[in-house]
Parts: sequence; C-alpha cells; structure tokens
Amino acid sequence: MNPNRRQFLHASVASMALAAASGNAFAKSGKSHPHVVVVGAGWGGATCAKYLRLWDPGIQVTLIEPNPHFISCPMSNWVVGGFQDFDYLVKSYDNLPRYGIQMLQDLVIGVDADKQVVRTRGGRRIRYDRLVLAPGMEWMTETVEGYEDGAKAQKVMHAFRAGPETLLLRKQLEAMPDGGVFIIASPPRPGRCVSGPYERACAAAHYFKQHKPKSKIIMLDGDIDIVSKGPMFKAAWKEFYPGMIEHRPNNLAMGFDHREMVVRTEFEDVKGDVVNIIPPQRAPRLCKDVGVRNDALDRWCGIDFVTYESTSVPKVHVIGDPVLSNMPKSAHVSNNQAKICAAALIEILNDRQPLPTPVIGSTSYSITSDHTSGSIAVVMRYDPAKKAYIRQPEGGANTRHSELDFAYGRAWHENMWADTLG
Amino acid sequence: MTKQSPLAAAVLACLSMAGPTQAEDLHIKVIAATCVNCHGQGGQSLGAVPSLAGQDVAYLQTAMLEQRSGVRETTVMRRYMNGYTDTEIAKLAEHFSRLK
Repeated sequence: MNPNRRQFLHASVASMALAAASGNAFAKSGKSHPHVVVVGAGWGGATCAKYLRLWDPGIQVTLIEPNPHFISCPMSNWVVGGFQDFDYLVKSYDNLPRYGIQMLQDLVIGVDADKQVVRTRGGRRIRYDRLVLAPGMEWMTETVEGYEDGAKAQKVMHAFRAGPETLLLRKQLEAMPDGGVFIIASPPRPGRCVSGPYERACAAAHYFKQHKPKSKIIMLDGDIDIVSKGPMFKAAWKEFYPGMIEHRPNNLAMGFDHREMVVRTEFEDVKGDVVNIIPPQRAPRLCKDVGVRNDALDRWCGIDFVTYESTSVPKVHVIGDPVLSNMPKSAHVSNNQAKICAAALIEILNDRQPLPTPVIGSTSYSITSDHTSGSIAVVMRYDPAKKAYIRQPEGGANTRHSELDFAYGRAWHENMWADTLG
Repeated sequence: MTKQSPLAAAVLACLSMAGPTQAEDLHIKVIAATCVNCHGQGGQSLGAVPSLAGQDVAYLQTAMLEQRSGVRETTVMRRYMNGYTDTEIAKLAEHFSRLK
C-alpha cells in the first residue's frame, strides 16, 4: 500500500476512534449520534459492535467485556486432542477500537431499563439509546448433584467455555493411564454447540489411539441420540476408533461423586478416570435481572426475530446463545444474528423500517481426527406469518467426513476470527 | 496478506458506505455478510475456502447455480444455495464481483 494512503487510513481510523471517545459514553447521547451499548465481546457482541460501526459510523458504540482477551470455544477440542496449543485459541481485542468502538474492560452488574442505564462493577453508569446483550450462557450445575464439589476439587469440568477448564481436561487426559475410562456426559437440547461433545470424543479417541490404545470413552448422552451430524460421527467412530467409543443415549447425568469418580444417571452408576460433565445451560443471571430471561422454563430470552429486541423489555436486544429459538446455538449463528441485529438497529436509529424478512446461515465443522472433519449447513429464512425462522430444503449435515471439510473448517475458523475481531 | 490489510479493507468499506445513501440493497448486504464467515472479510479468504472478491460476475452466478443443482460438486455450498432465491444469487454475484 502507498505510504500516504496508509497514513490517511490510519488518520481516518484514529479520528473515528477519537470521535467515539470524545462522544463521552457517560453523557446523555444526542439524537444525531445515538449510543448503542453492547455487553459481551464474544462471537455475537464483538461482531455486532464492529458491524454497527462499519455500516453506520454515525452510531456511537461502547463494548463492555470483563476478559482482556477473546478465547475461542470453536477449535478448543483441538487443544483437548493435543492438535493445537491453547495459545492458538487466544485472540486480541486490539483491532476493535480502531473501528471507533469504545471498548471497556469491565463487568456489567445491572441495568436500569427504565432510565436506559447500564451499571458496571467498576462503578460506571453508562446511558444507552439501545442495549445489546450478548453475555453467553451460564451452567445449571445444580442439576448435577455433587458437580460443584467435584469442580472445586478439580475432578470434573465442563470445558464448554474455553479457558482454564480446557487445559485442565487436556492435562487429565495426558495423566490418564492406558486402559483408563474417559466419561463425557452431555445434556439434552437445547444447548451450546450440540455437536461439541461428539467432536470431543473424536479428539480424545485420536489421542488415545496413538498413545493409550486400551482406553475407552463412554458417552452418557442426555439426548435421545446424536442430534447433529449423527451418521457422520458414527461412521467416523467405526472407521477410525472401532470399539473405543461407547455411546449411551437417553442417559442424563444426575449426580457425581468425586471421591469415587462415579457419575450417576437415571439408570446406572459409571466409574471413570477422567470425568467431563457438560450440564444444561440457560441465559445468565444478568438476563434474568434485566427481565429478558422470560420463557416459561426461566431459561431463555424471547426476542422479536426481525430486530432481536426483547419481547419483555423495550430497547434491550439479545443475541447469541441465550436467545429462545430453533436456531443452533453456535459461533456462526451468533455472528450472523449480530449482523441482522446491527442492520436492524441502524434502520431503527435512522428512523427507517428494519428488514422484514431476515435470512440467516448456520455452518459448523466438527473434527473427527487430526485431518478429517464433517460439516453441517443450513439457511433459515424468517417467515413473518409463522413468526419463526424456517429451515430451507437440502440443509443439514453430510454423512461422511472428509479431508476437504477439514481444510474448509480450518479456513472457517481463520475467516471467522478475522470477521469478528480483525 | 499483512495483518493490516483486512482492517484497511474494512475501513475503506466503512468510508465508502458513510452516510445514509447505501450503494446496495440492505438485504443483500446482510446476506453477503454471512458469506464472509467462510469466504473471508471483503471476500478475501485467509484459508482453503476460495476468495470471492473481484471474480467475474457471470462466473460467480453460474458457480452458485451449478452448486445448487448439484452439477458442481461441493461440501456445504449445495446446502447453502438451496436457501437463496435466483435474484439473491444474482445480486450476491454482483456484490462480490465489485469487491477488490
């Protein structure tokens, strides 16, 4: 690039950043520069903040995130299987302020929806014209008796939010003797990344096959079957890991005794050497406190599917895993919901009508070894008459894994990271 | 590609879209923003998935229609293309052919 052009670009970016900063997130924002506060800088929140600024630089955007780095949950099973170092999952937020996003490392502890003010642990009070909640999930650990004691003793983990638990699981698999039993207990739908537990079984099996070939993996599955990419996973297990992975459907984990290392289900007690229990999930406490966790089961957030505005609290939008819908709870969907929400907010804040019939895409890749993956892809179109996103024909999973899907899956990760954070 | 290039491309896109007038239909813009999840920011892929930016418009449209019908072998693209209308496919081809 021509140096002058580069300087011009940097100057433009700097002025955008300066404009956002001097816009003062703490003051009441004027109509000319409406202020959107985004809570949570994961796949949904970071994407929403970035695309708001990309598509309408007139909007002031504040993004609040407690963690100093982005840690990718997609690809974390590569670390579990020993195909990648943990550092590969850790990405910087440094590029986001260059779009003119005011980024705050802080934790939102409450929202006064009547006054349109967000409160943080750091003592900030930030006024918004529109609020976007993208806080991820919390784990219903109380549904598995003994889980919390076991977690404190580091004898069980879910490792379904990438971080220290990912490393703990990897360490325990490395320490497990040959001939040991690795238990993966997964919850019924709906929940985050429903193909993740089966991908994890593949990653661990690949490692065992090379280093601990007498070992076994027992999957205690709270669902009726493998609901995502089932035939693909079963074919891969038969081809690569015959006899190593035992899948026991309809077998929800209800308790865990960490002294005996025994998982209790409705039907049996199963002893393991390494135990990974993924409890059911729900929208986090913040969503309940704000009043947007509003379904009959007190788990999910009902939204308008055109704008992603809460059905119970005006001017508060929810994106990502906490949303009550038939859409998969995946990184790809969170990223795409963020763009639909950003486009709708821009229309609303410019006194125009949002798109009445959004279209969303969902893709996910699951590794079956260090060189093969399977994929699932579906397009869903919003039908205003049915008030739902309708799956389009031919969508679904492939029945065979392939090396090409592995290469495309890797490209998906690189391009998703760049799209969300780059 | 240097680390700065995607950012620079995004900022250029941002500058070119400043103001209320939008060069392209919002509906297509949002769908195109789905394509970049695999095909890369600005249609420039960082991996094995092909880049779309600057490809010939007729080539892109034909490729997408052949992926939908199954004439062209694909992984996820047949499943994707069955979700979009002929008009959307034509406009997506235009959109990505215009990107550099």
